[in-house]
Amino acid sequence: MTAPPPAIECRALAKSYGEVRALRGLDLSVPAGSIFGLLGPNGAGKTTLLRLLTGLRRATAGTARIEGEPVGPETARSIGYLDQDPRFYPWMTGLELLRLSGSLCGLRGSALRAGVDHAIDIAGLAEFVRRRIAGYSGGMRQRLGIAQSIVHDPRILLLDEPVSSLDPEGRHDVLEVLARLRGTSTVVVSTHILGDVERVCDRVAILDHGALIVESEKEALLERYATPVYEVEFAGADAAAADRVTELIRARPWATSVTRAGSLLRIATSGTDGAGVELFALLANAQYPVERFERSRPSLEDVFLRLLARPGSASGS
Amino acid sequence: MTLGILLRKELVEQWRTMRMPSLLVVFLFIGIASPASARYMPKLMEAIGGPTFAAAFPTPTILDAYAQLAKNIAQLGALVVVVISMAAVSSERDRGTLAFLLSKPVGRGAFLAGKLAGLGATIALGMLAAAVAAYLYTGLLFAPPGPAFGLLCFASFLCLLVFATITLAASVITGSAVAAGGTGLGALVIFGVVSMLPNVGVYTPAGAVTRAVEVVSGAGADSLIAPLLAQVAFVAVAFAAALATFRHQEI
Repeated sequence: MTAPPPAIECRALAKSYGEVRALRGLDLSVPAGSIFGLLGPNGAGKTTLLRLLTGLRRATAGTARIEGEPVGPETARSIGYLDQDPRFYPWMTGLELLRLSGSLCGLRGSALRAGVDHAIDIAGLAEFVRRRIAGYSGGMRQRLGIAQSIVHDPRILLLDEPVSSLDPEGRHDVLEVLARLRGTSTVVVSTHILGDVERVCDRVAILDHGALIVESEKEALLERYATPVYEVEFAGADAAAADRVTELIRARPWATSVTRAGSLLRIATSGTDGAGVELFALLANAQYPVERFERSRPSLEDVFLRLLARPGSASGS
Repeated sequence: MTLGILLRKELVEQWRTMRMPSLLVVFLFIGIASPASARYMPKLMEAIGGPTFAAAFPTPTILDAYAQLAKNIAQLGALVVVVISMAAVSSERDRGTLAFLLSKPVGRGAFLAGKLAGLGATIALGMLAAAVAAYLYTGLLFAPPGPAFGLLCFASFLCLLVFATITLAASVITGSAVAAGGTGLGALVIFGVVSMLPNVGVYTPAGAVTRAVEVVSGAGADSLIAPLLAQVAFVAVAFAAALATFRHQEI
């Protein structure tokens, strides 16, 4: 018995816009049923990849397959897509848009009604679904975008920045929705919010300049790049002294990433033996009061910054 | 089935965005004003220039009403059709709704066919409004039109569909509503000039409508077949050009 094809498979997928190479021979496989986080800085090629998978754009070279079939009008039936900046007909109501969306995906009669009701429920649209879209806020439009992408219960969901314009409650709701889809649908989420990916995704791919930097199970990725991370919370209020201590740490060769938010300093190290001891000694010598010193688990953000080796990754914020 | 869904969406959109009501008002006006202006033109001229001036105008007949209707449809009607067609595709692209539609299982051919069917249905409704008004007013002011009046209305509809399809194709190819409108107006002018040429003029939209007036006036209906087929060919060529371009465009 042959194994089912992956939900999404890209082989040497390339896309150029004139001189700009948005994707450079991408090889990527997304297993069915996974919640797949697509990470990368602006211009990494995330949106281009999702648009190629929907058929809205055409590859310059290589192939993209959805459940084993080349991307085309037929594969669109298996896909639900949310654009980065979803725009809909202002003269329609949300309900009309969901009905249109379901109808175009082949739903009729009671199946259409059930699909629309389910999508309204999931996206929390009930309050404003009968209003004209012209009056929707960005967050409402985003919720409507999510609803239209799931109205036909697609096997594969492609979501481009699905929580970017949602308030914290909306973000929480959407992440809950994604978590509930685990095992039943394949979800590919492109986002800048690494914490969200860490919370819901079970696989992660990091793109940069159109190339795949790494693709792995999230836990394996964290494990592989699990160099120690230390958190130091300053107790004093002397900002200049805190700056001096931060600069001292940053100058150490084992400090791969040093970020500071207020009194909290987060130091990712290269894993050198003795980095923790040296850091502790450095803090003691600086004689600046410290409230907390802790070795913590590296986050996806630490891995992301390390893999991309951005110049800003070593600077405080 | 997809085409039916898209057609319904197009019609609702044209109604709610006031394009269809505006077109209906203009076409209703054309239907009422054409026989009325044909009937009262001599009296109007008499009021302006006196009896001597009015004598230059022969007594109006029902054929003048037909000719006036044909002229108004081919000029004012075509202008309105260009205006409602110019943003058909470019506005979907600019608004970002094209990505929403084409990420669904909607073929690009079906999308464009839905657009053309929507424009065709709106024009047909407008033409129906003009035809009913013109029929009633012609009957009131002259005599009830004969069955050939339907042929004139059909030829007028085809003439308008040519301008709608050319403008739609320009909307796809240029991606700009302004450029599409300019192309539609350009086609109106060029076809207008060519329609005055002997032999070939009859195959232009305005020429076909003029021939339809002649048929209503008693000429053989056979002479209208080739001009009408020419209009169908214009529609087919413009649509094929739009589709060939649209299939290769990226969203």
